Amino acid sequence: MNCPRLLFITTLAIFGLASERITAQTTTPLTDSLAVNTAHTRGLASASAPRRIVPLRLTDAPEGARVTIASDAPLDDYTSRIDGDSFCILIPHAQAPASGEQIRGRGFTSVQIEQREDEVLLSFQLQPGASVRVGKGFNRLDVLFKTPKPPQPESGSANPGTLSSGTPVTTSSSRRAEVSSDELEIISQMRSQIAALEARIREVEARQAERDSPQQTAQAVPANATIAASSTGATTGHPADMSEHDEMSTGTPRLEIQGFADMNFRASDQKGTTNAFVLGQLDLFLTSRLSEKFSVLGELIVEAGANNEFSFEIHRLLLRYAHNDYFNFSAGRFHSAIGYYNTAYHHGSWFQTAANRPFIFAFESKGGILPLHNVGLSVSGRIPSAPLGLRYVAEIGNGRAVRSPLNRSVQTSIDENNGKAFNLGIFARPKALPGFQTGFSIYRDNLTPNGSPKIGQTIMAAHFIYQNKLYEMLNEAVVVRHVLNDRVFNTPGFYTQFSRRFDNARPYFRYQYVNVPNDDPIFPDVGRRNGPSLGLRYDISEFAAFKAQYDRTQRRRLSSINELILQLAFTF
Amino acid sequence: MRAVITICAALATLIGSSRPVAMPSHDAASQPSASAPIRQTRSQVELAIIVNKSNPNDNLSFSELREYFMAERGNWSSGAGKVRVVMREPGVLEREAVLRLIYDMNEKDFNSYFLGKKFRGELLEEPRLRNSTPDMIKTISNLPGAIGYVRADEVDASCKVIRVDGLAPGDAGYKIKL
Repeated sequence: MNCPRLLFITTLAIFGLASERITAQTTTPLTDSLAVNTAHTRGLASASAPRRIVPLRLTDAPEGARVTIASDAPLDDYTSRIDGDSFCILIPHAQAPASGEQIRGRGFTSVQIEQREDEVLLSFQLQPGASVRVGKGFNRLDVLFKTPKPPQPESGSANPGTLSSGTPVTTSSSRRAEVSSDELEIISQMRSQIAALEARIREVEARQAERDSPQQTAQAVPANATIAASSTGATTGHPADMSEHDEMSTGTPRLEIQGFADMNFRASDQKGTTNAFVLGQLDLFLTSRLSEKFSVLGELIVEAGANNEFSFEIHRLLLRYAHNDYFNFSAGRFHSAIGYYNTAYHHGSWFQTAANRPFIFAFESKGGILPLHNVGLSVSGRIPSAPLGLRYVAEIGNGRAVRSPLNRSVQTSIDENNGKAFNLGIFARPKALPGFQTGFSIYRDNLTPNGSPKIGQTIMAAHFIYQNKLYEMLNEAVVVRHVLNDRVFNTPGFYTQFSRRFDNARPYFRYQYVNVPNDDPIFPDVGRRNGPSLGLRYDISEFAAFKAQYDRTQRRRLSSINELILQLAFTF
Repeated sequence: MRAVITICAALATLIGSSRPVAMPSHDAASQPSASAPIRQTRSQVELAIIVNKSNPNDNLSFSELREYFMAERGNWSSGAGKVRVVMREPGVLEREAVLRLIYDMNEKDFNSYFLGKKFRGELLEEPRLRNSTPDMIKTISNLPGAIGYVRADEVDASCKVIRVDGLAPGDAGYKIKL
């Protein structure tokens, strides 16, 4: 149902019922004192011509007589009272009917109509034991009399009643007007209906708020392309103030796309290379929320290789189940939680301060030595009751391929062996020190290169990170350990990066080091690389940055390389 | 080894010289500036942290409050379900105060922070945006697990005001102010 329409109708119903309830309750507090209903309107009424009261109309009702007092104008400012055995209604600024026809009915014996200056007073002489109440319409009053039932005892005995609100009502033939049991029932029903409608409204509003999409967020990120996965395939943008019901037009999951890209210019003095403009990765980051706890996350990369041909690859694709803060489960292709950098920045250059990744965290396709991608299962979460904001991550997957250098290193569909790679990590984010994170992880796999016995691979990584709005300090150390026939090959590596922001500018410095033994059975051609990087990131807009970076890389038994990188990185 | 020690010492010095915890403080408001009169006026207006009435929490420490607002926790530790942060739209004083006092961020940092959390898969729900105080109150009152903020004199009975470090708006020492 159209939600605004439902709300409108519901609101009208509530107001209608509420007004009926108010009207019905008008007579319940009748006491010896005058019951003023809406005295504030008297002043307004007196400024115009007096209302003309038409002759009274008597009809018979199941429990007594009904006398209708009608006028040519609203009668919402009347007052009523019990005066002895009389029930009096005073209508201000009114003119009595011309004929004074005497009427009587069940519940009253007579009625007198008096013109008192500009007021009309109607006095009903009550029968013993009778009760009375007034029902109000737009321009009429219905005086409803109720006669005592024959089996009941003599008049004067009290008949307790109870409003739905619990207010006791007593009936007295001498002084009290009574709310009939029927009216009490009606009031009770109305209240029940109102309560049900109010509950319904709350339910609808809660459901709307629940479905309030993430697009209506506090972020002012570039408008994500959002594709409703409906049969129509319609693509819509979502301004932040989009009404909630529009977001519920389909009940199917909604796909959000956030793009990241970069454009570079690289120049180096390395022999065999030329300076060039380089189109970086086009990273399409996809998210979709399937339910309260299930979601999908994907990262699709399109980039040009050394042969200038574009390639497409799914770098992340995960079905995630977030049970609570302590248990989150993911299945698919993910970035290994080795160290910090790999899971903090993924492929989004815009997020990175520097123009490129540290050696040690270079992607496999760029000659990196770590298995940064994996296909399998992952669980993560906080550690219950643990201090320091401890969190864990555990992963199992195919690991990295080494059988042939021509093969893709990420084993997305085929594993070279039956053994699976494991990665366990633990890290802390103390809430007392926002921005600080430290952790440790250990990765274990068995590699089976062609023509070589099984090689055990163990990767230990530790990190120490601090980031706030001004400072950034990234420090990570990794040891890659290969074991072949009881011979151990250790590859140490680390980087440290420091930056400080000055408004939109963020100068940074990084020093990095990796040293692969020349006889390492897996990466014999990497060797030692170390050197500083110096750069500046300047945010030219909220979602675009310019970076200039100078790298000097020293290599074992090779000449050093000096490289300049200019980069435009942005998200959209 | 000496280089490592030197680097660690430098890092420790930098950490010590920075201001890592964004505890609200009157210091900023009391510093002389061209807008001092305005700041003094704003500082009289307190922000109430409000949650859904079904939330059993009555009090949060400031660090817990910060964790919830920064989506470091996705679920209420008290069992009140998922944490749903509700923010006012950019440009209003209430939001600016919350960004300054709780997030210790500006708008740009805030956007980048939540985009990064989403990119890392650490976030299922981004903060919701509400364009008025009635909308904020309505959302909080209807949405279990919701947490937001309004000026203290605009709170109504449909929401629950959370104490922060044992202090409620109006108490001496309450620090979340415009």
